[in-house]
Amino acid sequence: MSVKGSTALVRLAGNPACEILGAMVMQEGSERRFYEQVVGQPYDREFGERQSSKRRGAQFERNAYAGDTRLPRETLSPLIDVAPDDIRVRNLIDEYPGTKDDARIARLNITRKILQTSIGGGTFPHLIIQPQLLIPTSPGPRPYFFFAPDLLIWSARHGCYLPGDLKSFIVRENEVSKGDLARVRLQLGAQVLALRHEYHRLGLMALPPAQGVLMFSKPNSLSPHAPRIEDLGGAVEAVHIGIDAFLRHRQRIDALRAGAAPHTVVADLDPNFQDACLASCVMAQWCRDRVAGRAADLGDVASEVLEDLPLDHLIG
Amino acid sequence: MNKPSTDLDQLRAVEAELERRLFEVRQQISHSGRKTEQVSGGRRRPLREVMLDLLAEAQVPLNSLLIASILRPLQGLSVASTRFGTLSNDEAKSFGSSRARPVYLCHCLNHDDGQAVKRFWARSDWPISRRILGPMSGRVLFLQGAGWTIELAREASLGELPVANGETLNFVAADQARDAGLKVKRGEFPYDDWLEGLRDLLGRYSVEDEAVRAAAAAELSNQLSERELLFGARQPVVASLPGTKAGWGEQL
Repeated sequence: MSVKGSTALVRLAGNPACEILGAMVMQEGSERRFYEQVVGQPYDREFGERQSSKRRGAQFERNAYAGDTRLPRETLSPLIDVAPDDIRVRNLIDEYPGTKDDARIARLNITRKILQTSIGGGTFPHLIIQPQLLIPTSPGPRPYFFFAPDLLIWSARHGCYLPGDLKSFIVRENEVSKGDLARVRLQLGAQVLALRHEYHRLGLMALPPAQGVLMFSKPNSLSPHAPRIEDLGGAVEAVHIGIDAFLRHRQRIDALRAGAAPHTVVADLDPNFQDACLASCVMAQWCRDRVAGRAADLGDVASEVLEDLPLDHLIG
Repeated sequence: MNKPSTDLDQLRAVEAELERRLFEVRQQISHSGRKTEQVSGGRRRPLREVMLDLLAEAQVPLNSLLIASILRPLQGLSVASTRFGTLSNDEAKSFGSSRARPVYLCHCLNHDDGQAVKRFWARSDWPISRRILGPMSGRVLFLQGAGWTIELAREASLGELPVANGETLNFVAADQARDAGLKVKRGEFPYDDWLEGLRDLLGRYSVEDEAVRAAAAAELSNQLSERELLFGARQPVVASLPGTKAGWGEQL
């Protein structure tokens, strides 16, 4: 998994006590490079999203954006309260394609201008494809996190945009597995927070509600299912905690490293090994070795019940 | 002291005239010999020329994604998505050079601020209003591009247009029809029905869209330089990124 943008905050929200994760987010370069620098060997295990999942996701997005976003226009029409044919769409990836920072900044500029227009009462799009948002964490290293929701959707009821994400998970009746849903809810929560930041800088008193729109794939095709509006109060709060954790870790790591790269001080940092780390973090085994012989090595439940008890005490 | 510059001006005028003539000759060659030359795998022409020809035939701005998907079945060319970025940069650079070209590849412009919409390509010899994107122009251009694609597939199926891979072109046309919300059945290619359907859809938007474009064209031609009218207004400088307002920390 990535340690940039919304994924970084989602991971910090899931494990706010892990200082190793804080160092990974601060460090330039990839997660695997961080592992190599700490362990001194290349990371040789399975890493990253499966190619088949990536292809499926890319195809789902292509289908959704085709025909001037025809399918989402049809499914989102009741939320926007405008007929599908009359929905205005602005695709920012058409205007400024690319994933480098200059493209992100250009799209951020356009997004900000559209938000300003929507407040000022001008003609604005009902759907913004691939907008760009950010959450500031300045001053310090990593002074902001970029966020790119798949969509911003105009909500007639709230009089503001809501973030929306396209997910190509195979679902039936719009029901998703708990693990997958928890992750995308945190992702949407981070996007809500970033959208609130943009509205706040425009001086809007009533910030957008903690709600987001999820669009899953139909089980028998790669076309979008009816949208699902999620209440994200808990997720937004979790992302708050993740940001606070990052600020805290950054302060500690900065004090320890005295200008050196963050990976140089990992031995002095506190890991917080959890079962979920094994599926999402390259440092999981390294952290597990640090708790070998203690209750945390037996899993989350044992760690919760027995705290930091050495296993020798249990056996003896 | 003026004489050398007058000579230089004359030479530049002759150069521009020759460039224009060369372009016309190339276009004639392209129209008469393009199909056989490319389908038979002859010398590959520069992407710039290929795109200028495509746009001249389509007579509407085209999206990079559509161009890439059309070029493979039409001319057997595969174009990497990054190639369009370098093409755009090269074209903007060549505009600044002393050798004027008779026609440039350029981008469509947003109706409200004149910023370039980089994935939509146009020709500099078109009227500005045809290169403007209004609030509904994305849909209009998609429908026009789809119509052009289906028309190509129809001509190819009738043997009027030799193409590298007619079958794939049919599928690209069917994809366009499906994306427009028209009925598509496996193995059937009712070009005339699709074209009729697209005309109906276009009719809903075209009048209002043309009015917005014409008004924006009049306004932007007074505001922007010749270069900006081709490659887009300058991006505003972001004075402070994140651009946070006081009091945001309390929200957290």
